[in-house]
Amino acid sequence: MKKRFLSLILALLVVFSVQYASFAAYETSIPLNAQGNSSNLIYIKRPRSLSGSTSDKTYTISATGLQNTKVRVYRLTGNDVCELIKAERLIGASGLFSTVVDLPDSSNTFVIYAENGASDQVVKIQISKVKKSTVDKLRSVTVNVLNFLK
Amino acid sequence: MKTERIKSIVLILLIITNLVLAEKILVNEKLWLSGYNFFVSTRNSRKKNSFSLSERLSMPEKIIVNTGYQSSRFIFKRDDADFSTINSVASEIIKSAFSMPKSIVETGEEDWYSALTAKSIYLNFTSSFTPSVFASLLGISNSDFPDTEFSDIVIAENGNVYFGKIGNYYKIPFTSSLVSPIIQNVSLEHSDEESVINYSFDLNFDENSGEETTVLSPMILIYSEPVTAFSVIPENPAIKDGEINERVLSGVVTAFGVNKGSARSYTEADGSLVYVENNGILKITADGILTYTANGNGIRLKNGSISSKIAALIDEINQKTGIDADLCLSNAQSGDSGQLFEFDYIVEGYPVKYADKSAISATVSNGYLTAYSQVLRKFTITDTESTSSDFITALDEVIDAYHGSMSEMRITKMYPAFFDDLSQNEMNVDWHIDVDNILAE
Repeated sequence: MKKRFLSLILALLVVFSVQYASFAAYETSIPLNAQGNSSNLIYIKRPRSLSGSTSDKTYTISATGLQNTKVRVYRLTGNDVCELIKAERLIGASGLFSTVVDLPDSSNTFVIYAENGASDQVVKIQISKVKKSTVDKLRSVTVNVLNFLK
Repeated sequence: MKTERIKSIVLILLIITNLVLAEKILVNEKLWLSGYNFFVSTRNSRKKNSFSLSERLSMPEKIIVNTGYQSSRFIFKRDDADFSTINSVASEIIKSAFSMPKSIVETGEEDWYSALTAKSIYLNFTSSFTPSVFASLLGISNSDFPDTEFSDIVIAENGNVYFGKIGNYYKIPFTSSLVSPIIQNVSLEHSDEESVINYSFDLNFDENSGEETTVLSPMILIYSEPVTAFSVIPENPAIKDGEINERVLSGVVTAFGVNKGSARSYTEADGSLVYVENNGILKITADGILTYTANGNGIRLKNGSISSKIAALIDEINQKTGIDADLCLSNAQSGDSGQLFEFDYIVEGYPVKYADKSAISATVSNGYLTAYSQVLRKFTITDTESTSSDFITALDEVIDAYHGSMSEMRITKMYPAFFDDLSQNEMNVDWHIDVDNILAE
């Protein structure tokens, strides 16, 4: 009887420790190759193709998702490990989510981790930072090409 | 001889005291005629905004300078120092462009959004206008305008003027070299600011891909941070020591052509004071709501355009009640039966909203004022700062209230504002949300 009781306690400890370990692992960092078990918790609206570019110092990521889904944002900092940069936010009744992320490098990788009960989803986003002068050049090229076509 | 001298000195002192006291009463109580008022140019001109309401009718509620680099945009409210400078240039271009209605061409959505994402100046109005009503506010009388409504104008860097609404955009080709320097100056002056302002269309919140329950109008500004503003205390100038302020009332009554001597007056059970004249009924409630309802034709307004006549009447009432808050046109409609004009007070650059009414509403028919209402309010800005909830949290709270009864909710407007519940309690900045088209499940 005593053995059975101890086994039960041990089993409970194992279950809780696994859950805690997975939660703890994603609390401050997440591996770049992390995979979720769901694909319909969150839908990234910007950047739509999951990659974008800007000349600004920041970028606004937007998404929609199921109500009560917890969302955390991580940035790749090296060695395939992404560190938490935005604390957990709960998607509310509007289903809308947006967050402004800093762009310290010319190429920035972000991981959006969404969790709702037993389901979780991982989305990777790539944002490139370009110089304002490059944007201006591209703009003038576009105008010139349009003028040529006319 | 000595007694005589003392008497003379006392007499002179009494005369001087009398003059000083008379001046104090005249100035403090403003007991001069408005038509013969040399104080007007000094004391009464100490308004926060130097423009008369007539000049502010076509002024936007806010201006956004788009620098052409995604979310690098700068917002200017009416109380910001740069607002007047940018607005005067924008106003000059718009006036010239709207003077050429024949050059207006229909344009596509792509052109509209290209102008907004490139270097441009965006003017956001609280009111929706037809182009002809807007032109009349600019002093242009022409009927060759397209049949549409708009509350947004974009001036491109080259001077082209865009206006319109979803699915119905117009362009007035125009050339101006005045826009580029403004954008350049704003970019330089604010280069160290971390301003992140996105339009709803930037974040694709205006599109429903099938799963969304909330869709925002494309031009809603998404603030990345909560809004902070000083708290404001509204004060009802119609009440003094718990009773209707007779001095304030006298000024208001004459503005509506009511003769206090001959008009029948009575006090209602709730403390409202009512004057009944041949041309209508004037009523002031204890919580400071002034209403005029015409009997027959109403009051014939003075010469000038209808909008400027209404503006002059409001200026007169505000001057007599000591109201110096800025005003913004929040609704302007024109139809066969007449015109309706509604206004919001603007405090600290944000509109003050009321539960079921506008701050001011005026209805005109055939040049006669047939109905008027105004929430009489003065505003004191405190030293205490308040911060709103963030944009999405505010939206969640509103939608939560409807949840379970709808499958899709369209948000037409969302902006920071103050809310006056008429209790004269301190007001903190919060979000105003207009909801449209709730589709029930």
